[in-house]
Amino acid sequence: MSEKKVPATILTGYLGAGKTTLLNRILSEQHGKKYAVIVNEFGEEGIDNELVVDADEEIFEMNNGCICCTVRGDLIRIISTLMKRADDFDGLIIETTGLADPAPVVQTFFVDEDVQQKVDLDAVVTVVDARHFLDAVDDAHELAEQVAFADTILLNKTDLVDADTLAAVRRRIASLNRFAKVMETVHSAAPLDQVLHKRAFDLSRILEIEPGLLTEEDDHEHDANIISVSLTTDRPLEPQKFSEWIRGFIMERGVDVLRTKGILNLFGQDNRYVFQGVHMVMDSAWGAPWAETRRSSKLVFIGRNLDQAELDASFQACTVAA
Amino acid sequence: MMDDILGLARPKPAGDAPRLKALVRRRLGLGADSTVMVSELRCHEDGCPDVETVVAVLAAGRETESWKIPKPMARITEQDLAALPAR
Repeated sequence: MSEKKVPATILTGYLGAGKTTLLNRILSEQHGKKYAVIVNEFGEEGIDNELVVDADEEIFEMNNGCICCTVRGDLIRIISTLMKRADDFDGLIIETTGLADPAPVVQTFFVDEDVQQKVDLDAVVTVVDARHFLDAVDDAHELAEQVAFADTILLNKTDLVDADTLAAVRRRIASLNRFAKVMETVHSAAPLDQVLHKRAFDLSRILEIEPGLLTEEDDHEHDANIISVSLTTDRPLEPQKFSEWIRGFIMERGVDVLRTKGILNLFGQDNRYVFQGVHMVMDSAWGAPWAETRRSSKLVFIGRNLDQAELDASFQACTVAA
Repeated sequence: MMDDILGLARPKPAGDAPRLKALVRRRLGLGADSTVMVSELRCHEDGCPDVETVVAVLAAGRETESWKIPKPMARITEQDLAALPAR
């Protein structure tokens, strides 16, 4: 039996944004790769391929004193079945409904041990309709969450809006998620090598895939319910202090924190400590040695009702000099 | 490899999932139409086990059933599954 892990891409987007168009491009272009696809019953158009129809979003909640996470039972079942023939395809694509909360889909890949052994969550790709985004985003929390969760955003249907509207859409996207890569497209025509196999959840690539991470503070509108917060410090972090703070914060506010990423300079350690989380589900690893590079800790949150100043004060209080 | 000094790493019970799934299948007499999910949850709170294992049985058209066993996956034996309804 093959030991290779299959990369899985989660494809989200509001109704009519162009998800299925992208999916059909992935399935029809000549790239020499074969994809298994899990779709849902709300697909706007047909998909001409081998596929598994996902009829129900079965939400299964796991919790204890520290963690509450919801996973998609139907996905675990379907993926477990698909993995018996994993040698038959090069990747897995999960298209969610336009109204789906991405969190249970993402967390499914963090929870089941067999899924983890056989599948690598590659990235969350969100397709956004440039024409309808601004009208819909304030009333449709699913749309805001799909953007907030994304590693890659296809800003689609850009031919249907003028330059000012496009700029406003980009600003609004950035206010929700400053760290996703945004590609402007017409008919979802993005280069597929920039959409698939991005390894966005690979801890060793957390910074590599986000070259703009934490480089600037800009004055995006902060009236949004969901915002991105970035924190940085050049002083080393005291491990015990930081651990207690982050675990307490995630336990208390994990429902509101959609995604977390960090690369840490821990006092007394020669290597970077990298971690990420989706709501309350976290994972971490030791990264490359700092060696001669300038040591700096960076922490990113995307979530609801986050207070940048309060978070920064708590973060800075975890440094050894504090 | 260095320890996870912040306690943020996900439990990784390598190799124990298939063994536990087989135990659960045998105990519950499950057929091919059922999927067993096993997962470890870590907790740092007082009163919680450091690591507990969640076992869930998923089948199309049926409500998911789940149980918690207050120990790491690697230490679960057949006796620990006594709370699961034998079939």
